[in-house]
Formats: sequence, structure tokens, C-alpha cells
Amino acid sequence: MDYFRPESLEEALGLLAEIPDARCLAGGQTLVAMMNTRIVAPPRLVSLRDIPGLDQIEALPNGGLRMGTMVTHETLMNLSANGAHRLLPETARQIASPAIRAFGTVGGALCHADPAADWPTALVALDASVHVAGIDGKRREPLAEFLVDALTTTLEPGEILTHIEIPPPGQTSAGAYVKFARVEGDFATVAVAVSLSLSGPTCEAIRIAVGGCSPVPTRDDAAETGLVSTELSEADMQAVGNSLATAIQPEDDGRASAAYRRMVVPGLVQRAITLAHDRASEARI
Amino acid sequence: MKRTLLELNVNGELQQAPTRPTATLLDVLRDGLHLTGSKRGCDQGVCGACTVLVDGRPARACLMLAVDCQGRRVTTIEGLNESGEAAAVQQALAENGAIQCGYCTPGIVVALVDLARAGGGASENDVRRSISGNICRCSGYVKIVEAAVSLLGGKASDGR
Repeated sequence: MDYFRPESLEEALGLLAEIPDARCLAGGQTLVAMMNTRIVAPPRLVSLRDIPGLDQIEALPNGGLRMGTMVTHETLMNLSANGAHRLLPETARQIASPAIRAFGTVGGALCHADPAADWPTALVALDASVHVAGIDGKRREPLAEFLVDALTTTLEPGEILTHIEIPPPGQTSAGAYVKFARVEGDFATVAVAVSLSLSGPTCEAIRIAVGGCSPVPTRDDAAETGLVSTELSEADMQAVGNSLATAIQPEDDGRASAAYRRMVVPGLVQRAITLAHDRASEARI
Repeated sequence: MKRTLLELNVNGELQQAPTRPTATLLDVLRDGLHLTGSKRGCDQGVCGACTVLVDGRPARACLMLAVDCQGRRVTTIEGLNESGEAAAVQQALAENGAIQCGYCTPGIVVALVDLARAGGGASENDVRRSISGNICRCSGYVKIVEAAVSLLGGKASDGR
């Protein structure tokens, strides 16, 4: 294996292009663990840590956020954010343990695309998109499309996910990330991320993503649309919870059975919507 | 596999070690530099026995590629021992009977030194969170938490 630590994106793309199985090294908190067990043995690693700007979070003029792929969970945990963007620190806090958070990166987590990981679920709820650079140019894609299947994204060999962009939070908005796991810091058995905005007492817009239960985070467009212009009553929340419990494609694994996950989803959806709703209502007053 | 000479800043000194490119920081610390205070438990980042500080932040030595640590400051339990920074934590652990087999202890000490550095007192919850990535199979954690709270606790417990 050879190792490079380029100081520009162009140089990194050139190094990746030379060897088809070359890999980027971000925080290494998953990749190195996989190398230790010899699940992967990349012929070349291209460390992204000296490329300027990739560890920065930038507030966009429209109120959105653009963060570099090397931003760590710890940085996001300490982010002071507005409205629904507070979903970011709330999610980061629930990832693994201090040492993993200090070095693990948001871009690394998205590219690994573990169905039980936290960022895919939270960032799909925030309607994030990803910026991808390749030797032939750049593209931008909704995260929900970037995530294709368990451990599978649209990233082609030689491409780098460089930035993640999040649209501005609504005027009266809030988010909530509720995770059900065996112990604190574990991967999710079931996780629910909600991002919503209110207009007066009624729901103006809402996105709900369920993680840990399907190859990629699950949303239900029709159920979300059904919540718009309601006051998010208990019956409204139960309906969307039940429809998401049907929409997921859970499997039996070491954490829980598929049937158990279907039982947990409605309650967790209700809890997450309630939390977000209460937070947005507080912001409104 | 080809070995290259690596230069690492460990405990304030530049150290050289011949290294395979795929070696982790833990491999180099233990086998190259004979700093065996950091323990190898899982090699998966789960157990926390290899916790060190990298650029002042707690890190899994088993999940850092040694070659990617060039230009970073690595502090091991040996370094914290020498500087005296670990002494208070170690004494609290000893006085509270918080050490049994001792295998997890260096990692726990590093994690608690990081918590102590943050300053401002720590609740029981803060302590439990700070060592949430350090597995101990002997103690059930109670004595470890009591030791840390006795040392760092401003508010003994905040309930949850």
C-alpha cells in the first residue's frame, strides 16, 4: 500500500485516478477498523486532511450551511445552529464515544453508508445534498439519491465527496433526532430524524427519516404531505408512524428482529415529531 | 511489505520507527517504540483500551494509521505519567478501589484526563459519558465513576 497526503483537491483526484481501488482516508474510524480485520486492503490511501477548507463549516448567504467532508462529529456536536439545523449537534452528540467523535467525519460516514449510522438519517431529514468532485468535473446530488443501498452510494472510483450542503431552516423550524439503541453510542436499532417548520400552530413543512430499518433511510412522501396544514395531533402522528412502519424493509439482525423494529417505529416517530413540534412552538412564542 | 521510516511526535519528542504503511499508531507505539501502556483490546475502536491523545483530543490508537499521524502530537499514558498530569486521576482510582485487572485502566485514565482538562466540574453523567467508549469487564464501572466524581465532581449527580 502507498500513502499520499496531497495539499489540493486536484492533486488528490489525480492520485485517485491512477489506481482504480485507491481509497480516500478521512477520519479512518471505519476504514482503519476494516483494514485491521483485512476486510479491505486498499492499494493506495489518499489522506484528505491537508486539503484546505474541507474541515470548515460555512454559513451561506441564504441561511443554508455548507460543510466540508472532513468536519468531525465533535465539531458538529459543538456547533451553534438555528432552528432545524440544531438537529446537527443533537445527532452528533449521540454518535459513538468521545474519541470516535473527535476524529470520525461526516463525509466518511455518508460515503460508508452504513444503514445503522446516524448521519444518513439526520441529513436526509434535513434535505441535504452532496457535492462530489471527480477528475472530469463536479456534480451536486440530493443525499437521498446519493445513498443507493446498504454500504453503496453513487460515488464512482476516483470521486471525492467534498462538501455537504443543507438548505436554510424554515422561519419557525426545529428538528429532533431520536435514537433507540442497545446502549448509548451504539449504532441505531431504530432512529428517527424529523425536521419541520410551523406556520402559526399548523405544520408548514415536515421531513421524517427512519434509520436502522432499511438499506437506506426511509421517508414516506405521501404521509409527510398528509401532515402539512395539520396541527400534528396524536392521531396525525400515529397515522404517519404506522405508514412508516409499513414502508421500512427491516431485517433480523443482532440488534433486533424485523418485527420488533416495526413495533418500535410508530412510537419513536411520535416522540420525534412531538419533540420537534414543542421546540418549534417554543421558538414561535 | 515494505517498511518506511516514520517520524512521529510522541510525548513531546520526535521519534523514528521503521513501519509498515498499514501499521496503526497502536502498532508503532507498542511494537516500534515499546510504549506498552496503551493496550490492544479489540483493534476495532470499540474497547477504548488503546486511548491516547492526538493533538490534544482523545483518540483510538488502533484506528489511526501511524503514517497519517505524522505532523500530529501524540500523547500516551506514559507521557501523562511523566508530566504528572495523570497522577491525580490515578490516585483517585486507587483510593476508590477502581482498579481490578487493570487492562482498561490506561485508556480510562487518558479519557478522564481529557475530562479533567475541560475543567469546570463534572457530574456523574459527564463522567459516564466521558468513559462511554471505554469497556471494563471487571468493575461494573461503579467504582471508576465514584473515583472520577470524587476528583472532578462539582455536582455529584444530575439525575439521569
